[in-house]
Amino acid sequence: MEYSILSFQSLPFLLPMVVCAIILNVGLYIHLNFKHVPIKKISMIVALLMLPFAAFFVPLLSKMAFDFGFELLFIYIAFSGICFISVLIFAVLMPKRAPSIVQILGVGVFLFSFYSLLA
Amino acid sequence: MLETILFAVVIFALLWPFFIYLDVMNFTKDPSTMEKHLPGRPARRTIGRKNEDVSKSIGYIFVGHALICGAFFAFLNFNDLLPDGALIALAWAAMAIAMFLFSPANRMMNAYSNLGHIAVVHLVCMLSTFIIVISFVYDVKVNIEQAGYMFLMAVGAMMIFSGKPNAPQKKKNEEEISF
Repeated sequence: MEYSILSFQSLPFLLPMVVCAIILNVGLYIHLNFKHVPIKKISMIVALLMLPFAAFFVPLLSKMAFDFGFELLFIYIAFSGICFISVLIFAVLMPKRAPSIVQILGVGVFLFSFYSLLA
Repeated sequence: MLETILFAVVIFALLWPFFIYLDVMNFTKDPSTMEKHLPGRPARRTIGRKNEDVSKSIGYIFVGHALICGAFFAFLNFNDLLPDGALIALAWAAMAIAMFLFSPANRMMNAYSNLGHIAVVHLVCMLSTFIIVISFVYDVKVNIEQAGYMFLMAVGAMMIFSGKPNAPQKKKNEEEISF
């Protein structure tokens, strides 16, 4: 049976994706600010940290794709959208100046198209 | 299939006007002129070096996402043939190689842009590589409706982070403030 990615059944898969996206973005933020550490060392640390991610994501994806029949397009788009939204939350949490109308409009356009694509 | 790939190219090419608007890339000035001085960052590089660094970073990010996307599909194809451990190793290898590309690319681009702009590049590269891979490997066509929504997602992301790159200014010490 095929489920929609926005259905209640996908919640146990979406929540770990959200957590992973937040961890990835925190990692991105940290490595951009650790300019005193050589880039080779950072790349090696990040590459090693990908092992638990791979160990976590492979069973999750196989369960989503084969047991629950979520469409591949939607799994991939959902993860990329969630990653971007977590960056957006980061940007909102660390405001440097008030958002402009274009930026607010952009949030609306992005969220509308993301939801419509997955619906 | 050709239309799908063309659509992916269009989405990817959106980065060009985006970075020109942000003044992160500039092809009108003489490449040997110095880049604009940003607050908190010394202007050490030329416009030519800046364009080269940003293009190189975008290239690295694109290749990294193509690798991850390829591994994603390889994993789905060989799911029955390989044991779980081998699949995890395959995914890890692809992600590790991608991280070796992403880390220098992110840092190189961060010299000229902010975290949000880097996230936009990642999103656009993720979408375009995914569309190319599904059309090549699975011969899946993206229909007009989906293409429109993906285009809007990319445009919306660019609108959100349309602010020009601005580095955090150095905090003034008390003496400077009182002066």
